[in-house]
Amino acid sequence: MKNTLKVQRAIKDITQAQLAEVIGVSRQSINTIEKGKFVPSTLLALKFARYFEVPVEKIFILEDDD
Amino acid sequence: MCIFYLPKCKIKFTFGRVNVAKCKFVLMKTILPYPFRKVGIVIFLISIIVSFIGDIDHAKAGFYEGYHHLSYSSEESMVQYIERNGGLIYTVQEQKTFDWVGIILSLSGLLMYVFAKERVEDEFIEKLRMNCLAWAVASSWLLFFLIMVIRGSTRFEVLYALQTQMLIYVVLYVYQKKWKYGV
Repeated sequence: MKNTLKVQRAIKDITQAQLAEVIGVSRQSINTIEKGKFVPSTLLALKFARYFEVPVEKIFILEDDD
Repeated sequence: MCIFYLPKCKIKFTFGRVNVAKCKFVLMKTILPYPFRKVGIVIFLISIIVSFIGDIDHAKAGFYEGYHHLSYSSEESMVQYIERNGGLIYTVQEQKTFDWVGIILSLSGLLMYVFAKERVEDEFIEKLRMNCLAWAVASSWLLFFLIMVIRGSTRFEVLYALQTQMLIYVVLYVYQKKWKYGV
């Protein structure tokens, strides 16, 4: 699964630390999610979607091998 | 019927039949506030110092043993040789006390570190904890097995086994958090 978290963050012009604070997670979590090392829960994915005001599918995209 | 409640775990015991429905186990649940993490590190460092002080005699005996073998002196025994060179510092009882204090302090420090909260507790940290716990259990048991095979003995001290397991867990956790996934 790939994600567009970095792009969404760039659109909003916020840092990883700022996003982490808004969502209520650590900066490491944001970093690992962006790098695709950690897949967040549905709850966290929905929180991202709500914050960026886009559907979840626009942030987290399934790949062919998923 | 007895119902036993824990913060995030509900187990219903009914006439010996265990109903674990709706039971949400949270392994490695953090129960101590964040400052305990630093207290744990300090206590663990103190335990290392205590262990070093307590092991002076072991080091001294090891050194004399090597020196005694090198000098090919068969006229006097090892004990006589050590006595002639000033003897050991501690009595057996004092040595045991040092060992005991060292292991208790070490376990307390590690336990505090393991069960203390992070600044921000989230699902990534929870996953990291679970991952490190699984690796620590597997690798420590592999280590014990190898030691038993090499030494040819099935005897091991429970407290030292616990200490090894926790130490592996902490090392793995710190490595993964600070370096592998750290920025």
